[in-house]
Amino acid sequence: MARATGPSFKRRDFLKTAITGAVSLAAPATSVNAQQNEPAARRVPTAPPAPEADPPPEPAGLTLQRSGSDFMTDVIKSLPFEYICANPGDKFRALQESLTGPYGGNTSPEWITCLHEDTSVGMAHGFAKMEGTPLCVFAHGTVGLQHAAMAIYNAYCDRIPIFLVVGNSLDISDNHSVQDAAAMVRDFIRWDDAPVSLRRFAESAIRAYKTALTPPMMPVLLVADSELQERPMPPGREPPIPKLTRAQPPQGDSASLAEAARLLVAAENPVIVVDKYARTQAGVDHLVRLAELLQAPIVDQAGRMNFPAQHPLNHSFVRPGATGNADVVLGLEVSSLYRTVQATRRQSATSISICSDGLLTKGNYQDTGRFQSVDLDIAADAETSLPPLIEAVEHRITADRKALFEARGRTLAAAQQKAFEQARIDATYAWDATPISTGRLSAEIWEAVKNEDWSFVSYIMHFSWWPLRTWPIEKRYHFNGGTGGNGMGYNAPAALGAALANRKHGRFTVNVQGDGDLMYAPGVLWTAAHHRIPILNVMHNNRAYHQELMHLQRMACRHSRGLDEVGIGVRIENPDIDYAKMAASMGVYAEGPITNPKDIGPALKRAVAVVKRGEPALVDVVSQPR
Amino acid sequence: MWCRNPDKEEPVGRNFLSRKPPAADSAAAGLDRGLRSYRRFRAMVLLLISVSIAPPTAQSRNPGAAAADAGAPESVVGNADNGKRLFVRDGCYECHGIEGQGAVGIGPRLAPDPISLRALTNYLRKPAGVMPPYSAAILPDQEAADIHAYLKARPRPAGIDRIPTFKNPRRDP
Repeated sequence: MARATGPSFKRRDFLKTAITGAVSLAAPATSVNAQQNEPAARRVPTAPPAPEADPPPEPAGLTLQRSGSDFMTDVIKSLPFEYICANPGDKFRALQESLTGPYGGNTSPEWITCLHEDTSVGMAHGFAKMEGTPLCVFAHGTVGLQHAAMAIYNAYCDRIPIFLVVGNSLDISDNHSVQDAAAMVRDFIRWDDAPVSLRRFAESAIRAYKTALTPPMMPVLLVADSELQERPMPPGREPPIPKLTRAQPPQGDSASLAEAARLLVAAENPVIVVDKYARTQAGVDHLVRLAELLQAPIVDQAGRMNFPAQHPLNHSFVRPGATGNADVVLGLEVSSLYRTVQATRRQSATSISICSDGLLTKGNYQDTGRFQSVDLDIAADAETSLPPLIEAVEHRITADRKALFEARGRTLAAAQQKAFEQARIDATYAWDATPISTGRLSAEIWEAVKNEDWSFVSYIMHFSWWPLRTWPIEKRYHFNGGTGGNGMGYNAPAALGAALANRKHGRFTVNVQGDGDLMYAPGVLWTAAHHRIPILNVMHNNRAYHQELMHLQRMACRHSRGLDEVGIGVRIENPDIDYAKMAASMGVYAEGPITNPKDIGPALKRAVAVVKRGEPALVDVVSQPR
Repeated sequence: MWCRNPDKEEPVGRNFLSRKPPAADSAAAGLDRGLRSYRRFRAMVLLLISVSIAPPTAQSRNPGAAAADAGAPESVVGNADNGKRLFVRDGCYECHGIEGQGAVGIGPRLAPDPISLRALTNYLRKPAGVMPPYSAAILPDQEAADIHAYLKARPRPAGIDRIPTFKNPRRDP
């Protein structure tokens, strides 16, 4: 429709035109010519409308009692989804109405309104990592999936299950239809299907859910054909919905685990490296048990909360690193042990890997890292394999070895204690600086949340790892790991997804939010306010994409061209974004920008009170790069 | 944005700060060194998410120690105020923090008590690690002296005893 513009266009004229158009469409063809010569106002019908008690009979096919989308809703509700994250799309309009309207009741799953598909997937990513169960995400099969692609890639790299449903129409050829919707993301999802019948939809949905949760976990995608959604469904002809069962995660074979135990017990300096290992608190507890049995240091690459941060055997931040002297290295869900093995003296360490990436069948994207010939490579789920490994280790430890282990443990504990104390000292440098140091910001946040049942849910590298170095991260939900693919725009929605998971447990969610990351899809703040998801967002507002700024700085120096222009394209200033105003405009309690370090504590205290009332809050702190 | 590419990763566990400065310049050697340095830079960032994540401890805060014997303008008098400006303009703060306090795995602590001007200048010219090379064309000796003066003037930290949140040594950071 052409857009009417200019001061001469009046609303009354628009209404007249619209009414005229509507009547013209409804009137018999023979009267059209006669009406064309009459003034518009006289063409408005004068007959009174039919009484409401006597509605005209509806033509056959215009309405129906039950559609394919109702059955699809039954299928989706048969799966244990708590939420659907989505923004609307015409290609799944019937399914959306069935789910959110009276038929589905908008419960189990409840619709979470997102303002960008990247947000939908990011929320599902953070939720699944925190809660251990996937969410459903709806997206348009073309443009919506294109928006969602980067976030799907992050989840793929992070080995996180997400259940994607994309609407599509094979019967209509337009710019919102696609022959093979999943093709665009097939390289970084686990499985997909485009069912052409409701029977197949039901079977594929159950299969997809099951597949997503079988290690190596990753997103799955199901196409919901729009004609299939909107077609009438005669009563009594519904296909069965298969029962959901879970595949057992692959466990390492007993002979290999026994050999791993032999190597670990015999080692003089074993090191355990972990990345995307722990899905549950039990997984954390098992790793603590294994480490304490062996008195072996843990180097945590922080893909998950794998191991208590202040445990005496946590050597992630101890220098010199434990890896250099290692004679046996055990990797748990570490995609590549290349760097670890290369770091050992003369690259001579015996390497053991328990990692579900050995079952990976994708190869286009290179997220598995550089190849390392592993001496004992066990393609299995590490968390599932740890209990039998622990048992095998227990059987092999003799009294002599135990005494040696205890002596080793004392040395390791002393080194860890020293590193921990050093981290606290490090945080005191630049304590009163402006912009505010990340060390102080971390300490102020801790002071504000330490009496809550807190859950820190941020990507942490850009925050100098402070919480992992100085906070008592002990429980699985105290930390929610990394991004997976390092795709920007992950943190804000993933943090909110984690907060959504934490809400029912009554946990206090705290998120340190980078400014550049937030601006990819700031509408996530509205979603937090709209759905009353309690989360404390503290802006690590360094007004730049600082990682890239460092890259450009290096290039400029290498080219000997000076540094005056390195900020072009990477600084987010002039004008400075007022994140507090932005958040407030979307219904989020907000304070800032804070530039005086003495103002952080009181602002956080007020924000904590808001979050404890069940609402989101944001405190904008102008802070140093790292 | 940062893209992880482990193909060019270097072994970790070797402290880049302990490496010797590169040998004599040549175009090819310079290019090769540049590429190697870039790879080291990437590897260094990868270190943050991998094996040897470590804070800027006292052990790691003397980047110029290996180069201290080389000639450097120790006699140049620096201007701390101008040094502050240059510390920001030249991007030093990106990795080392506004006060030169350092950031874990990115840039070691420089202040207070910086290394000597001679060592600092020499390291700026020929960094052995991931730091960008600051030639005299980019950062003249006088400006290096100004930055050194700024670092020298940084206050000492308050001490953890004066910060309530650090009272409990283990459970309450």
